[in-house]
Amino acid sequence: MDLVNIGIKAIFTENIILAYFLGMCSFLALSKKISTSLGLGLAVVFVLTITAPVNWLLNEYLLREGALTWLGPGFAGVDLGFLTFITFIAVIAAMVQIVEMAVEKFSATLYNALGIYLPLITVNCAILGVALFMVERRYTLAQASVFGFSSGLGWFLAIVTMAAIRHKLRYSNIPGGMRGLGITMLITGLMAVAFMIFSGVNLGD
Amino acid sequence: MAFDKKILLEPVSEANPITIQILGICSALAVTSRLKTAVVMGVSVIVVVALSNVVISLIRERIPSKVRIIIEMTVIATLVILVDQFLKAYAFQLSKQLSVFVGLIITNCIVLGRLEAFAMSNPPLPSFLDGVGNGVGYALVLAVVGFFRELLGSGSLWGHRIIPEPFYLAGYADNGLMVLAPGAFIILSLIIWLQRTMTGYRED
Amino acid sequence: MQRQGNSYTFLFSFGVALACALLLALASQALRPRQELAQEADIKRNILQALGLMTEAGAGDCASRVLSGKDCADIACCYREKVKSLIVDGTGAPAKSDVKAELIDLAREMDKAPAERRLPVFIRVQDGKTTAYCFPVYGKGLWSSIYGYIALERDLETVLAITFHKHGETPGLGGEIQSPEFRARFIGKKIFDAGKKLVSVAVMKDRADTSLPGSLHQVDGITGATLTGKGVTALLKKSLALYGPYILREKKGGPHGVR
Repeated sequence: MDLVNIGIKAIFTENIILAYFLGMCSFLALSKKISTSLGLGLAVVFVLTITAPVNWLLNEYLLREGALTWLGPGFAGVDLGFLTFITFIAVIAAMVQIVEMAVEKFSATLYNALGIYLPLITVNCAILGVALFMVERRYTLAQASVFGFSSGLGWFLAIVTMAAIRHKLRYSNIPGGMRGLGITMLITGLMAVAFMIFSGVNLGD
Repeated sequence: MAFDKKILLEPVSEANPITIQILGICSALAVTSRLKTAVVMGVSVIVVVALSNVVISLIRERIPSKVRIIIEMTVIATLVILVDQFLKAYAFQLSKQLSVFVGLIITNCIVLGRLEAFAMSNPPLPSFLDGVGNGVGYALVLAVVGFFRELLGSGSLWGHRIIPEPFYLAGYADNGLMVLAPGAFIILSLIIWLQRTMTGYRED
Repeated sequence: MQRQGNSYTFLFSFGVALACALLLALASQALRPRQELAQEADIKRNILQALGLMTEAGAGDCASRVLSGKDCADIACCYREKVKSLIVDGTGAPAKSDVKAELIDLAREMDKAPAERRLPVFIRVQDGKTTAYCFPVYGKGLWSSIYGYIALERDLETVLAITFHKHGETPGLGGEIQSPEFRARFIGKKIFDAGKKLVSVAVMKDRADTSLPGSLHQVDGITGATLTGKGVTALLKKSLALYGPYILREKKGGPHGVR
């Protein structure tokens, strides 16, 4: 129940982009067409699902204070916490690279569909954000995995919805200065309000 | 010197990283519900952009192109960790409030964007100015968003109450939406509208 | 060596990584004492504030303003003089621990069996007499883990003060639990009901109805932060329950403690 709850929260009420503003850059730049937003959304879900547990393991057995105790009691006081950011970002960059190579090898169609968006995921704040939140909130391995996957799903949902709305918007008469970024921001705001409706949803304690 | 001035000032208004270039909105909006945290975040970004620009510009002719992005990320991450460590040591309370969002400067597209677009092809001094200019342009938008969100959302500025008590007694209420995420999106969109109308920038 | 060659790429990356790692290790080592000082001063300041020895502005018995090396010493000094810390286990009996009382992480203790728990108690002492008690509280809010302290008066029933020093709630909404206005709402509330049952203090969704007797155990919530309020209610209940045995023992005038 706890896991379901984390999942629901990460997708709806605490949507990584609508509540935390994470992953805005690619969200704004690549939500013009539904097809690209679909591809990117899937890639983000994929990378998040892999990096969240990997980063969790690294943090648990390498980085946090006392994490190196398994090497021997003498290491109990070692705190590599200051390397957290750099390790996480390196893992993310490496994972994205591996995913890219794997996709290229096994599915040419998917590779072509994702195109240049795959490498761009490295600098998607949502990925690093999930890793940092997971440490901050002291999730267990199972919780972190669910959290990673659901956050990706939430991001996917948001960008695809946005692409659909922008598709419709093309025929609207919008004031010059508001066109493009301005109106997208405003709609994101309204979407965030809409997603907040779910905040009453709470399954179990 | 005229040339340098332009590098410094352009990103503050005409080529503002947020409102015109659409870069780096990601990590920092979450801290704009209070003016103070917004300003500290802005200053941290200025430091990181300016210094990483200088470092990359210094070694730009030696970086192998294959691992360019990784090297840039390493430099950025190092600087961000330094900022984080300094905040923890000298501004403990503030660093607690900013929590994970200092770390998220790493993935702030402005930093990587400026490195790629400017520092890789320019000498250190202009790179530094470009970094400061972009950082300031960014920090300014954050501060403005923070100003309105705190004023309208909590009736205070920098933690001090601004809206007088009689207003509340007369029926005035803080707008709770402003402190929530949608408030930031809406205020930012209005700022973008105003700024683009003033500079005449248009998007298709 | 060729700039695009594999060995050059490798060497260069290695060099950069090494330089960065060295710089970070150096900075981390150099700043660590300062960070630990700031952290410990922060913990002690929170305990002092909860016990009413220091106000937000830094006035009070332990007057201290901005955090500087000297002021840290002041906080530490004041703390040493006026606060006694002890450790009890989950049954309320005195216990021993390798960790200093101030540095015990309540989150970890909660997961242990009652007899294994090591719970810190901070006691305000004036002229050799106990004048107030302070316990750490911990639990989950809406987004994040919330850490704080609750101070009880000598009767171990009335809330003297409450502080929340670490949380990641939305600034301006749930984050308002840190504000003096919200924390002031707890002062004078009772954690025991008339039947002498430990009921803790609950944060209401809206306003607490003062006409009902239950309002002695209720405080007004924060508009727009209902879920954080629920979290605070739950964490107070859970944390105070940990100390239940100790509180009951102490109320009966148990054989231990600094009296």
